[in-house]
Amino acid sequence: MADSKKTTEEIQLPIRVVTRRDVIETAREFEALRDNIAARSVEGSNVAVIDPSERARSVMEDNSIKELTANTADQLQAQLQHLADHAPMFRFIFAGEPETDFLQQVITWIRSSVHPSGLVLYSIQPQIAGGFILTTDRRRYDHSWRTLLEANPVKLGEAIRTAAGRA
Amino acid sequence: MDNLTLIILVLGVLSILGAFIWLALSLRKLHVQVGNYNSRIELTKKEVEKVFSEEFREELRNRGRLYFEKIINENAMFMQQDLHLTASQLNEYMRETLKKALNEEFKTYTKSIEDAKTVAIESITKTQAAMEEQRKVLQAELQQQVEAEKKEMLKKLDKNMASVVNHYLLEVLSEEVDMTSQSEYIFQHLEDQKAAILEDIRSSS
Repeated sequence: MADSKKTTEEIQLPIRVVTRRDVIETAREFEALRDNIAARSVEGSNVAVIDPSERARSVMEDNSIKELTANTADQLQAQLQHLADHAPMFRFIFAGEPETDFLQQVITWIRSSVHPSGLVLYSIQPQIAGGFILTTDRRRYDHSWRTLLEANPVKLGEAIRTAAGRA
Repeated sequence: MDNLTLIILVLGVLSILGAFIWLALSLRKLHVQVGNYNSRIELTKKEVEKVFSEEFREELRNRGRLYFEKIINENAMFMQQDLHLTASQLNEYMRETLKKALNEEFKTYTKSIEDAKTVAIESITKTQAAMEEQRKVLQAELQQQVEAEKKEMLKKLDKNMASVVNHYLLEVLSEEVDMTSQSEYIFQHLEDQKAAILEDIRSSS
């Protein structure tokens, strides 16, 4: 348990890895890279070299790994797999499909302000109109525009009447 | 029986005998006098019959009848005058009495009417005051009710209008979602909830 915690704390996730799916895919990629390295290490094998993806490279760069070995690939795979199971998950609901830059801003804020290994899982519900709904393991933070509008119907009526009076 | 008694007895008999004799003499004298008196009466009757003959009596009767008629007529006239006077006085008395009674009745009637009028005016005034009070109470209640209904209707209108506007806004906004334009709002609220989120993560780990 202590080892796994240490492993989790050591790995630095790049901003390209945002969701749990990204983590799992990256872990699988390192697993494949590890297997590729192992297969190529056998004498006389003609297994083609698999180049790591940009996402895998960014993981290696953020964790100061210049050359990928079977051992490091295995280690990274294990760490990522552990993160996929244990990293704190921030489940967002947005009104529309978030752009990559926006998601990176969100993940940067989470990892700098809340937890360095935080992951984001998001879904889209246009009915909320705007804002967001964030669900952690313990609470739900509803800052959607729908809730905001529905929470103050009288205030909205007063605002409309005031606007109508000014007109 | 002694002598004295015998003497007294003889004397008594003699006295009684003397009394009888005197009485007989007196009666004889009285009888004579009565006879004289009767003869005088007879004589007088004869004289009277001579004076008061049948013609004279008839004359007296006629005179008496005339006189009686005169007296009767006079009395009738006086009686008629008295009757007229009495009737006149009675009429006057009746008129005065009736007038007085009517005046009294009129006064009573007028007073009753005045009292009834006063009572009616008081009653009307009281009724008017009560009606005015009731009207004010009803007006206040009605005003209150109208205000409450107005507020309730405004509240419903606000709610319904808000619901319609919300629905419209949600429809419009959900069609044109621009996450980049919302980033400031989202990060502002994330910053506001940062402490709570950190607490959640610490409690979960």
